[in-house]
Amino acid sequence: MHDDSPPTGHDGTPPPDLAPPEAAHTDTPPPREAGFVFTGDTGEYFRIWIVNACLSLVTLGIWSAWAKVRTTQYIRAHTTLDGMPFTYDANPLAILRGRILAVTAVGVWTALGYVAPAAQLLLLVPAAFIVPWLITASLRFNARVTTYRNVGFSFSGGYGDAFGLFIVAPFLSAFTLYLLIPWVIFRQRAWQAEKTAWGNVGLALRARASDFYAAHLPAIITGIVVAVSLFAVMGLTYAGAGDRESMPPAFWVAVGFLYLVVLFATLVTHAAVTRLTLDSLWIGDQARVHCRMDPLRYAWILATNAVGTLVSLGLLYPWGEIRRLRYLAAGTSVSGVETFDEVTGSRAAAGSAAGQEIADAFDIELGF
Amino acid sequence: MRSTSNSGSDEDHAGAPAVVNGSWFAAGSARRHDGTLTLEGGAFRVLSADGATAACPVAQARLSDFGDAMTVEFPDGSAFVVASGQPAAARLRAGVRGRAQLVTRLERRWQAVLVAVVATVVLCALLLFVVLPAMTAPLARLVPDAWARLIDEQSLPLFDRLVLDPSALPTGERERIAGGFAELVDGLGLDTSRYSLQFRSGGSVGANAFAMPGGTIIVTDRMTEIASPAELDAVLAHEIGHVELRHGLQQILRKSTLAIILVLVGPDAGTISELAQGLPAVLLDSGYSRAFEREADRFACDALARLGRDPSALADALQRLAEEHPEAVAVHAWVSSHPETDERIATIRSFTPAEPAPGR
Ligand SMILES: [Zn+2]
Repeated sequence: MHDDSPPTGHDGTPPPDLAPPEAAHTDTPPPREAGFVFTGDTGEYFRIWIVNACLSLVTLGIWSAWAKVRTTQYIRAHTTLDGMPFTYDANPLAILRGRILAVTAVGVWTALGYVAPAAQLLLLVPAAFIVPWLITASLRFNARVTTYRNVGFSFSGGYGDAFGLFIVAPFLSAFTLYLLIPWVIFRQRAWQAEKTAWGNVGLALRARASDFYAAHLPAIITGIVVAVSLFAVMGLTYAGAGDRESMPPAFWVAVGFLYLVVLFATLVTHAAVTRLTLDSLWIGDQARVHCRMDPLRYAWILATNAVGTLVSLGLLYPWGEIRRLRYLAAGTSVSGVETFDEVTGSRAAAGSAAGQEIADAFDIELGF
Repeated sequence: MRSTSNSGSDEDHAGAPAVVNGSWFAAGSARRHDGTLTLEGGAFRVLSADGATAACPVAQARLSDFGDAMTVEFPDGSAFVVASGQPAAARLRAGVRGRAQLVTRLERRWQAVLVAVVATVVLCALLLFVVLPAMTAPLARLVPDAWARLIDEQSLPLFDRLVLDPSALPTGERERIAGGFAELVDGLGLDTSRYSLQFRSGGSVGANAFAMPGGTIIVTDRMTEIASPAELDAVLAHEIGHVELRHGLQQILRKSTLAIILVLVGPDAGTISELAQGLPAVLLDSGYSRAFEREADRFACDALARLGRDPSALADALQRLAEEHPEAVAVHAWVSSHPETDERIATIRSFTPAEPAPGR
């Protein structure tokens, strides 16, 4: 694939003026902004989700590959940008093959944890070398099955970069009291964006590392506050009770409350990073994404979805997904959509889904 | 919701052409050509406002159709995105595929959806509470003893490092308890070579005894202090029950199977699923282990009765353990509750050896 977009810096500075020649002497209209709209319906999605979940159970999991394609297709088809939907063209058979591999891996890994925990620890070393492959394979698969306006996405990130960013960098940041984590996440997201292309147009993340530190601020502040109050609560309880055996119920209530605070802070941070990543995303040189959603509100939606899913034994999961996507789409838009007319590229055929399925099974978090 | 009775059959569309608005994209291009798509005489025709045209027989086109969101893909790589909210789209749908796929039809019928809800809940309950427990018992018997012993060999050093300390019991006391244990195993006609009795100081564990899958049984010093010899033998019989009934292996098999099921049918990974999966897993696990405790109690009562001893010694031992660990009862009141212990004691006390054991 030939990418003729000019190089851009990662320091957040706007690119040099490289407007096409005809724009120089005519009146340049301001970039047109169009929003993301999620048109999915809770009832409709619930029907699709439950019928396919039931078929997956009845077929001992075999249908789950088709179920995944159908539910994802529904979500993509109802996610529109400037009125145009996204499509998801994964081959269910590829996903099924990937799932069989993933199930075997999970089974072996879990059994090994009991039979030979030492061997499992030893296996962490080869696992560290497999994970970067899983990540690139997963990103490549997800890009290749996605099409917008008849032009497919692609991902060209290599193994070496993934190894550095997802294994070496987090490992090293452990020696810096995890102070490097926001920077690591920034570099990971930037890499993901730079290596992703829509047709002949490359994506880019124009943010600064300091933005990612700012997005992590709620987590850092909450961490300090919670640690201090935990010591305070424990001190007070020791002073009052005298011995460890008879902690009053109030102590456990306080600990439970602090735990919930930490959980919510994690969600707020996740929301802030999601917003920042989307808001810094450029599509070529003239089009960029804006994300104006409120991280607190988004975190609240995530938290209430989790509670709803829990108390309904999973049945409210579709409701939560629709609610989340509707809010996320409503706050997200793209300016400069008029440049999309010039984009060219084919709908790419997808390859193996093995990497993506294994990554999913082991909860390797990816994506924007 | 749209009506389920599709009025359009394959012949229907031939008469009246179906016309929808939307955008057409040439192969390999994201340039938008707004226009119309006409289905007439078994062929699609595209006519855009800027004069672009395309045509293709219906049989060669591919329709991706999810309610309002509809895209028609042509074999040459071009595509037409149908604008949402047009009644004529239904005629287009009917023309492309006379009958929708079975899944699509199921998804649209509320009766099918209702059946799916009920069936999913029932199947999940059946899987978790009937199939999985019933499946793991015979499966655990297939696991070779050597493998089970491997688990013991791997986990005992781990326990030693993390929670247990060397025992401070005098050698004579140990020999007396080991002798009683050997008598018990022998008297029940079990394979003595499979068992290994280990003494440890429990530390924070306090008074307790536990069995590992491969036949290693650990007794803490505090346990030997609070229980009389008869009560200790009863506790050991309970632990032998865990080994003989292969509870440890069953637990491992259940956990592994659950992990696999979650990969297959669980909602997609993410923040929500992690939060939502933790608590049910804990509750399910404690439910399984309660059943195991009851089974081991029954095994112990049965064994003691067969050896001509009093099964109520087990109830006495449980009573002492409950008195020894009041704080455990207070903290985990909702997981492994005190009423649970009372119920177990009551069941043991009402045990009548005259009843022939069904399994043997
Ligand atoms: Zn037990």
